Amino acid sequence: MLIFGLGTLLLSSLLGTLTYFGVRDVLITQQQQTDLQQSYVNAALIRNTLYTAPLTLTNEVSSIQQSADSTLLLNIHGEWRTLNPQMPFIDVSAAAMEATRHGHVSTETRTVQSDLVYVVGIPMQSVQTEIFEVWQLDGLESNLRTLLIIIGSAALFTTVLGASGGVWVSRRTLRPLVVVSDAAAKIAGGDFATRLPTTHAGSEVEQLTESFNEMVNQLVTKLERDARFASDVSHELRSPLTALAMSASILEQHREELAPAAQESLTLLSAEILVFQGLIEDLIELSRSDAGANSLTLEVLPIAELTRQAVRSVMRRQGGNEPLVEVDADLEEARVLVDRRRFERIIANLMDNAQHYAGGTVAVRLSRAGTHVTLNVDDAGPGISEGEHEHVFERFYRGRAAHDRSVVRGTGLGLALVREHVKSLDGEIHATASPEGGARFQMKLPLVEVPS
Amino acid sequence: MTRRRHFGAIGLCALVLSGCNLVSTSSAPTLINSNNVPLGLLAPTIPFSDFARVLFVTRDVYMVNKSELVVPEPQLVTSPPSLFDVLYYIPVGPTTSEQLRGISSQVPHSLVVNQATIQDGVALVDVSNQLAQLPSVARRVAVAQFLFTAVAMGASEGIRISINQTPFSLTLANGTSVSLITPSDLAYLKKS
Repeated sequence: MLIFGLGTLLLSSLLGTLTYFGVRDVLITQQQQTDLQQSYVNAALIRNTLYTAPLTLTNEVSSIQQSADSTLLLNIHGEWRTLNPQMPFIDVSAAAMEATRHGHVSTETRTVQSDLVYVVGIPMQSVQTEIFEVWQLDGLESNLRTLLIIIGSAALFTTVLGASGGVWVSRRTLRPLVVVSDAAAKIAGGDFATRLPTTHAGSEVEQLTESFNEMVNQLVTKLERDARFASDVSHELRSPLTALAMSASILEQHREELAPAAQESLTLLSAEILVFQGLIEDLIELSRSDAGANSLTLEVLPIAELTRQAVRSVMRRQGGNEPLVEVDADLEEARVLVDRRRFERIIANLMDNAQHYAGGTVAVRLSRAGTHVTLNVDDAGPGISEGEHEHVFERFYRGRAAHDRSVVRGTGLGLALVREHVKSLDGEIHATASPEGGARFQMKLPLVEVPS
Repeated sequence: MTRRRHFGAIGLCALVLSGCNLVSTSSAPTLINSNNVPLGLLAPTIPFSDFARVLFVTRDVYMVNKSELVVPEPQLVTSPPSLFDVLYYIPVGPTTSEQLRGISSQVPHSLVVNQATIQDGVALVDVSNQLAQLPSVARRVAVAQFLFTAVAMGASEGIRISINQTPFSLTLANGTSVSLITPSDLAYLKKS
């Protein structure tokens, strides 16, 4: 808007300035030429009067002054005469008097007592007289001032009009792009059903809309194909893996009969089978989530109790000391709308992650944040570097801690699943630093108002 | 901040311009080329005349000073000056600068000089009726103005006045009535 405004201001100012100076020159030149020509005629009348009827000179001068609206000052044979005794001789400069005395017709524009005057001096040797005619230019000055105000106002109006028009045109032109940008943002946020509405704003916009929708269709098709492939592969692998796990289980039952080297191999095999089973389960769940096939069973549940149960459940599996669960007093009765299974999976994955990479969860804290509840899962491990905070939620992302040989290898999909589940519950999750110096996973879920 | 500065500068310019003359004044007079001056105004003689020129000479026209005495005041008249041209200035009265010096005239503005000539040293002057309507003292001063102006123009013998072609006699201060008024008759009214 500023650029449009400045552009219009520049153009209108330029046009206004050229117009003003053009008109000004024409007006001034015309006025002065007219006055000069009239002075010549008046001088000729005075000369004829002095020649034919000198005694009527006063009447003639009076008549000229009345008709021409000017003031005459005569120097007849060295004697100054005027009908207006108040008219100061200062109206005529000494230089103009000198020039006229030397036989030159002279003109000058002067300011006399704040009045702008145009003085014409004409020597007439034939009648021993110099005539000075003083013309008032105040009217011209007033006209020019009015013209300046009009042009200035017009320039201002044009500037405002141009800026407004520019903004209107640019908004109208950019509107389709804004719609495309919004749609792209929705698709990036996972809403693959978003499409651009077909408009008739112009062939280019229609072409853009068609191309964009076609691109999204292709993208969705590819994503669905990939998800289906991953799901199919996972399902296909599940049966042989189950058979493998059962075989390993049978071998475990006869462990004592195996040689020590075979026992060690069996231990490794069982661990890898467990990891592989977890990976397959996570892949299937992610595929279902991507395909939108995961059904939600939403319930209004007390968040404090739900969290405690989930933590206890995980700890039964993990073993060891149960982490501290801190709940703000006003959250004991607070409720959230969640799918219980997904919520428990979120807590489990976060605590498993802490178990794998940070020696376990040290605290699970619940606090209120306006209309939301904040659930923090803190550990006391090495923490997550600043640059990895967002990446840890990506699929198969291997962070700095994962490269430590001492840690138990995870599937690489746990946190990705957490984010998908949190999103499905209308929540959000971020990784940050915990007060204990380790990592903190902070989840926000909307609270549900329960009528008392 | 920058935008505010721009608007401030524009406002300042407008303020400065509003106080300026929109028509520029000249530092020195512009001289017009003599070839561009029409109507023969710069010619030494009057066009379409027989190489005529109007010359002015100064002649004494008698007015009245603060002491009620007639005194000569120089007046420009075209050359060659005629008695009629010179007497014309008596009813016109003193100029502004003369008035500032206390000079006046006893001849009313409404008086018209109909005719004025000099014959054999005597000025023959016909005027309108306003002269007869003046009080006797003022009338004598008015006649003195005509008399001494005519004498200055060569009417050494005096003046004979008629009012609308009717001979006029002036009653002098001693009670005598004269039709030919000589300089000695009114010498007491002239500043020596």
